[in-house]
Amino acid sequence: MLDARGLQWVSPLELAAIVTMGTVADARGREVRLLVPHDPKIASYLVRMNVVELLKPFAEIDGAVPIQERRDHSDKLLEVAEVTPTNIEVVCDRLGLLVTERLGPEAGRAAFDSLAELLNNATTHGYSKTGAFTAAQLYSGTLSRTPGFEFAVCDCGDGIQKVLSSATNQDLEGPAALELALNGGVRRAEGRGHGLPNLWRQAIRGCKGGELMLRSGGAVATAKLRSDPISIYSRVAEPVDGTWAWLRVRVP
Amino acid sequence: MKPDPATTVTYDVGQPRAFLSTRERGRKVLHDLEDRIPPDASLLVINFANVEAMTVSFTDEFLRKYYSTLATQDDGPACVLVTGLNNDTRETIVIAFERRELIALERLGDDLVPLAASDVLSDTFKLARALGTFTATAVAEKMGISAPNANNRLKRLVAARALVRRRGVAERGGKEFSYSALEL
Repeated sequence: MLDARGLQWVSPLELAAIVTMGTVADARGREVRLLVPHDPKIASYLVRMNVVELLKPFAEIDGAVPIQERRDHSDKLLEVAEVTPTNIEVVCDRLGLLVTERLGPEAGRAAFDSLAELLNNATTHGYSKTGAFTAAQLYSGTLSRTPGFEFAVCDCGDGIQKVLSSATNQDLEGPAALELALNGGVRRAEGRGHGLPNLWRQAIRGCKGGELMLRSGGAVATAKLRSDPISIYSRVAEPVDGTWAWLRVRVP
Repeated sequence: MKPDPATTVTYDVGQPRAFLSTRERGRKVLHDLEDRIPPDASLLVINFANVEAMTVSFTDEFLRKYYSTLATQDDGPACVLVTGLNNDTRETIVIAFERRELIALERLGDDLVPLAASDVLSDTFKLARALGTFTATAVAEKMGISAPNANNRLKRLVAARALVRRRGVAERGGKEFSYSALEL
């Protein structure tokens, strides 16, 4: 049951996560039901961002779904889309153009470096037969007064704990695994394991700072991206399959 | 050493406004580059002018692996330059190279700059350019360091194809290497 009735605000993370959870449940042979948000604006946004379209083939959609005439907003958003090893370059190209044109070359290139590394993770060690889903949105700052870019990718793969436990031959706990992943404590033989630590260095170039959230298994990491970054690692009551990553970049 | 235009090869990375993201793409570009370098190439210029941005993963799989291979063999182009970088692509190369202690020589206008090099290696390269053609002993004397130390520094610059090394005969007999810096 994907109960979205009470949603008052929704970001790319929730959108990608709703589709990912529904897809995983369906793959496990469970019935999937989406309870449409009561707020017609939020319900409309779920339709606009492809959430309903992606769930419809296997899920019961319970509630009024607005019919809308779709406008092309490819210059400021990426609707929820499955990302695979086959289409990742197309998705990255589109997001790269979007962020460099709207955030400017320096901040846009930095944002691309980070989101493309997160997509790489989701389509390599994070990849599974149930796929990974991504979404992105640029904000003008009219409402929030903080213009910027928000991006999310949710995969249903092994999760950071399992990948790092296997790489280090240690049984790593959730928060410890996320801390190790973000701080670059793992150097695998083939030279990998650097993508997440580089986010610290890259994501905020030309920007006013930002946040990175990683949720994997039963743990969550929240990092404030700035010249002196800080991060918090904790457990969550509801474990997730695979890894959810969310990146928010603010621009001057 | 003046580059010979007849044996200079320029390799353009990507199409205009390229965003290079995956390791898979990095592998493809590396194979393409290797296929396009003739055996007699004296200078290889890897041009990133088309590249808007590239990830560390792509760079690791493409450029880092190419330079790692160069460092372990004597054949291949005598000199290799990267050019056309923006601040983002330059920093990405530095991140990918620093962790492997590799260096790439960048052509920046009329200047040559060793990327991801320590201050010590950058100073050694500056001296090498000022000397033109020289021996390790000359570098040791000018920098006030031991000959083995000078040799170690020059070895790393040769491995990055930033300097050319040739074997010759020393004045007092025996073998001696001479080094040359690229002249633009």
